[in-house]
Amino acid sequence: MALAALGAAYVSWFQASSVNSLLFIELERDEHSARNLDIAAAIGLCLCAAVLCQPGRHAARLASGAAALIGLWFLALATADQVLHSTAFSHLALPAAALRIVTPILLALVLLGRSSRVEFGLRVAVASTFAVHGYEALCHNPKFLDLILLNLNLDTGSPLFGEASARIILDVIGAVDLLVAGLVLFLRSPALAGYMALWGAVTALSRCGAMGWEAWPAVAVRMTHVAGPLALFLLWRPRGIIKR
Amino acid sequence: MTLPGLKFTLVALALGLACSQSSPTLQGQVPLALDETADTGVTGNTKGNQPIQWRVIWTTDPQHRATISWSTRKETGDNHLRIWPKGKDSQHRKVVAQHNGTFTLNVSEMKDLDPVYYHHVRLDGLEPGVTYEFELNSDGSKSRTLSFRSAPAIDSTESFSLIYGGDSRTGKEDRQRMNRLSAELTSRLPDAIAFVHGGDYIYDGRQFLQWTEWMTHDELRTTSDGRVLPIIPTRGNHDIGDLYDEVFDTPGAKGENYYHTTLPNGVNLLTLNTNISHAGDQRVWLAGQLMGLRPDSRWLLAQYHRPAYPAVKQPGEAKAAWVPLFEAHDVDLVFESDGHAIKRTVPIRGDKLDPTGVVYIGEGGLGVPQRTPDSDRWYLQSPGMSGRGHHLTTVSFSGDQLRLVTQGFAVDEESGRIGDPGGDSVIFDEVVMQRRGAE
Repeated sequence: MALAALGAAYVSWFQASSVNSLLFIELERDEHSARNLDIAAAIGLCLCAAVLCQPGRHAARLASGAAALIGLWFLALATADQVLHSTAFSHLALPAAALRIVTPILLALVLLGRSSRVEFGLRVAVASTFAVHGYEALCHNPKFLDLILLNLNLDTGSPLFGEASARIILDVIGAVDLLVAGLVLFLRSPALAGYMALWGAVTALSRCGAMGWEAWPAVAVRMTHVAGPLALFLLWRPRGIIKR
Repeated sequence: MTLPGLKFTLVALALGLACSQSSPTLQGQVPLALDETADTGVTGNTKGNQPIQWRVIWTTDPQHRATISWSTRKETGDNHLRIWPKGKDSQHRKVVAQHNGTFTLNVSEMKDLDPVYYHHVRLDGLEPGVTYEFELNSDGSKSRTLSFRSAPAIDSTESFSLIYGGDSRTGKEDRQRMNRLSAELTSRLPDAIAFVHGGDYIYDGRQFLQWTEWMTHDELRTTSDGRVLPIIPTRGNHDIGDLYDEVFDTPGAKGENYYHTTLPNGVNLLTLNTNISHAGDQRVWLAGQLMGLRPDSRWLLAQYHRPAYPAVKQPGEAKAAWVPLFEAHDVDLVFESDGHAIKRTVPIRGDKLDPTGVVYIGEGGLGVPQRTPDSDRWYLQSPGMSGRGHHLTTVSFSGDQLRLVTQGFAVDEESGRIGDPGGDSVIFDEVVMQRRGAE
């Protein structure tokens, strides 16, 4: 969660967040206000990350607030993306970002001792993120095509994989994503949750594989795609594993 | 509701959102209807079969080909143009519009807007470097006489200029002011042959009302004597949907929108599409083009929307997919947009300053509010530059020299809009590049 917050903080501080774009370009607020909001968000996210890294139960209430703020910022980012029309799939920004939004908020609830509906909320968020990414994969989202092609093709002059092959791979990925999105709602399978956490890590890290270290913020903000399914894995794992 | 029922509802909601194609409209974004264009002073209150919203479009082979397009509010059966070399009216020929259709209306527009019709005349067999006059005709209703110049021959050594700009999607008053500046520059630069548009014409590419307003405003690029500068279009990230192809007659193949434009004096321009896969078929095409064109190119140029070396945001996929090819084949100059700022990078090779590297300019200022660039980025340091202002760049080719002049209007610090719309334009940047090996 702290990593996700730091990734979002970097974008707000050094680039321009989608909230900044929405305020300045579309809603015609002055640039200083939009920029100041970005800076405030960056500082706030760094502080939230620091709080979350503090061990000890005495900090639970503070950590809960920090986690909730991170979730709310991701909600603001996704809402701005959804309104901005900046990509072909921006109309799906909110359900695609469900894990980024919901995981910190659920963490906040857990830290406050209110964990009765957390598992259900997490399952829905995981399902939503995987379902939307699966749908985009089946639609051959160009960004996903490029992630595959840039990761699999070494710069040898003759690519190993062409675009047609990447489209077939995306068909498979999309079908699997939709399948596991459905299954996670009905099965309490640690293997399933473990696979989803692993796939979340692979797809997050593929940003750096494609674009180099510069893309680390994109990897960091997707750490919730690992954390959400991993939390389900830990909830569903056979208790004996720990006891042994 | 039972728990399983609630689960099903939430899943259905998630999947429903995933499959929806909603396109919310922001407050204040409602564009003018087609008959409310009096503010431009160009088309006025036109209705029916009057040809309006004329455009000349170049893609490949502008020495011999061009598309001339216009719109009508009424479905018309006889759509043609009369064209003749300037001063030789007796040599006129009539060319019937080969491609006619109805602009696609968004579902939300259907109840408010009557259909509007596009007409494309695909001209072939033009003589290079000739000024043509033409007159549009839809069911007997004629436009005024307009003109454009075909590109001089590939082997011509005469000087010529391109005007480059991008990002006209919001800030409609400023967009019109920039179009008027473009017309002023076109009048002042008799050797200007085309307008290279870096994309993001409008805010939501699926909304025809926004396109029709843009097309009406684009008429302001026409000079007082009727000269129309052909447009070489690029697709921006906001230009999604079918309307882009309907407005520009599908530049490049459908679904691709990337192509090669042969310009005079050994200048070649590759237009790329950052809305589709960068690293797939487009990269293969780009590699083949660069390999074939470099040996015979005096200047090798590329243009696309989302930048590899941005002044504001993070780099796009172009950096990983295309920049290595640009460097391997010594591309000279790249036009980028999207960031809403002025920039000219240092020459870049291997992600560092190298006098033999590629220069990237941009980054979009045809009306959209201007941002403050991140001038601390290494590639914007001197001898590169960055700034803030609504801008056009004239790119003039003469012998072994290429001159870049970026000019426009200073902005109001808070809003990023043109500070003094009635004021004179200012020059933000001027630089001369020497052809590789000619120093």
